[in-house]
Amino acid sequence: MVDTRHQFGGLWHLYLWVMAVVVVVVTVATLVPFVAFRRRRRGEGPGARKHESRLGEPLYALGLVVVVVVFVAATFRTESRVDAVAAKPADVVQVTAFQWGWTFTHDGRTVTGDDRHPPTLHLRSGETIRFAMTSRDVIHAFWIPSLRFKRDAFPKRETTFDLVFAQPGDYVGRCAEFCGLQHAGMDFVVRAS
Amino acid sequence: MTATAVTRRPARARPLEWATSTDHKVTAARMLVWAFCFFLVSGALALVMRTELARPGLQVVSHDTYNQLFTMHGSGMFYLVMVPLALALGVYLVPLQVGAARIAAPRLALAGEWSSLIGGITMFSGFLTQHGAAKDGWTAFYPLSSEQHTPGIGMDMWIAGVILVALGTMAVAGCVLATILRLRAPGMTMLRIPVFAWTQVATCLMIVTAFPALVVAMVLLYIDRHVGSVFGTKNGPIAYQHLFWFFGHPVVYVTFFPFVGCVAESISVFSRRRFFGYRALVLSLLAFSGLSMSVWAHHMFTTGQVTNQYFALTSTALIVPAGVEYFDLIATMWGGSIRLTASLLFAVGFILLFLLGGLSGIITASPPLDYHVHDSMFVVAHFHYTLFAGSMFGFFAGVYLWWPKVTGFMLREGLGKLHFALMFVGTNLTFAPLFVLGYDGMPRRVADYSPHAGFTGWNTVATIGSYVIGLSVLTFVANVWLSARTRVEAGADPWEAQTLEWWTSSPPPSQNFDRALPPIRSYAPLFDVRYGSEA
Repeated sequence: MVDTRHQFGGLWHLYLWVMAVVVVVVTVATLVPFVAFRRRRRGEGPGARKHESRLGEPLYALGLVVVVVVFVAATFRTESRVDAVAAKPADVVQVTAFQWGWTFTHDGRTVTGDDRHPPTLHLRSGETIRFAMTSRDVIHAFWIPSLRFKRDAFPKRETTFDLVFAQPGDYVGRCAEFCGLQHAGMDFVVRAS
Repeated sequence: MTATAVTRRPARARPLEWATSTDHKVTAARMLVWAFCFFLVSGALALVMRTELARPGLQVVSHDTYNQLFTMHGSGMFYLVMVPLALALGVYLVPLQVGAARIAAPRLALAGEWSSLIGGITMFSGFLTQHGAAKDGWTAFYPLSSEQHTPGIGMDMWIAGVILVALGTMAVAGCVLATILRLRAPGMTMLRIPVFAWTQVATCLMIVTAFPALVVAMVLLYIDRHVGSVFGTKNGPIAYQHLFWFFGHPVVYVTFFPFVGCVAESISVFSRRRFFGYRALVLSLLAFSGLSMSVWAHHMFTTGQVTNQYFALTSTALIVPAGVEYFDLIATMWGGSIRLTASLLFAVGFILLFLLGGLSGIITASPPLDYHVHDSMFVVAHFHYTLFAGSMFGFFAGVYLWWPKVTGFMLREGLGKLHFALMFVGTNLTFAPLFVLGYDGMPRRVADYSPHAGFTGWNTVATIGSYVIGLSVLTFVANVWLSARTRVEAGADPWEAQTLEWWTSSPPPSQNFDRALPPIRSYAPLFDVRYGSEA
């Protein structure tokens, strides 16, 4: 069973730590010259003569390639887990996005909401739920921020994805592809119990 | 050779002369002026947007108006501000930097510039129509941008305007590129043109290869709206996105490279050192631009209809050329003899702030991370750090460096430093909170949000920051006005700089150089003259 939030968290922390180090190193390297290499007297001569690094810079570039490889490998691994669809999901929900609301068909029942009355979809927590989604008009996007997952809904096409609502509770959902006038009001709620 | 005519021209002819001059310096000055005007207008639209978003509830504009605001802000900033400013600096400086008397095909450059200006006026004239201006984002995804979902001539004027701008931009870019390839002075090999000129090479190459896709996308969209369905099939919408983003990704490097060039020149001059790692930088610029043509579908990860892994790989690989460029920029300062001018402050601001933009871009280059942050305020923060905190800071590094050359007088350093301080604080106050807002679940392109969502506090901070940015721009305008009034003469080379534009008077004469050029033995010929070519 895929826990998209957990998968996201692990990868996010890897990226964030590497980037924090980069920010500190670059900031220090950029600011030190303003202390160490300030022009002291008027008419002082030019700076240091060395204008290229035939060994250091290629080695540094190789180091950057290593960073790329680490990031890409971790990304590929996480993505294959997040994108995985189960052989037999516990439940299936048909989703139709439209201007400006959502229709969920599940267990033989249909729930529709719009920008004034966001729909609530009742599901069981801790199970793999298959979503089959399309749009009735323009492109929309199904985003559940606390699951760290989003997928676009295109007209005339169906897209499928699996999600697991690990904990019981209310999961806010939003439309995340600009779809016109009431794009800001296309919220929905998944109530997992 | 033009003789210096002493005949008095009738005053009436001079504006017409200024509007139709094929002197590249006048063409560039016009472009810089109208692009800066569009900057003020598009910036004002952003201030209205930020005012609306400060608190939950609609206080200032309707949803429909807000949608027009962000569409015209985004397309205005890209098509009519960042790209023209980037190119205009090239139009002005490239002939001077390579030792040429003129730009290549000056009448084509003039026509291209006017096409862009007329396109821009057409785009913005949509505000005067019944249904209003274009309102589907600068991306205008289909089917939202179809006639059925976005009726009204304002959208069509926007499409026509974008086509005119794109064609004009391609023409001007061709002229700048041809100048570098064909009009270099004797002794100036390709590996001796200044760093800024190389950034223009990369930029113009990307413009001529990527902008045609935009023209095709816009023409097909217009045909779809008024003749017969083009994108109305099962795969039409995704096809539109491929076309648009094939242009839409390289364009962000078009609006970045010339400003990196400004930063590089500023750092060399004010570190009193020739640029470090010139060849590595040239290689990385070419690799960067080549790679930039292969990453476009990282804007489409959440569609589920593209090969995410390929585009994640190519996009993440951008770390390598970007990292090399950072190495060279910083290494130029180490061991330098640094004068802290307003220009250098903006250059350093670029280095520190673009870093945050670039790194957040690497986050969005990872599909599982992008699944969360795509189309949220996080990505809005990402691209404003690269485009505003990056490119605009780089632009001002260039402005404070080259202003004396273009106008003949100095800008005030004190006001310049105040401009920098306000812009630095304002930029971070405005855009850093957006990272948090996006991570916490706030989508982009929304005029409003729920008071229970927890978005209110950071939105208020961001709005205050945006007003500080506005104040910083006013400081710049005040600097220009006051400096023009007190007029401290600049002379040919007030900074003791390194490249050929500083060899001639400020401003340069109409054929650029009135005396013989110095020997050209490196990418910093004046540095060689002053300190010897071994320095």
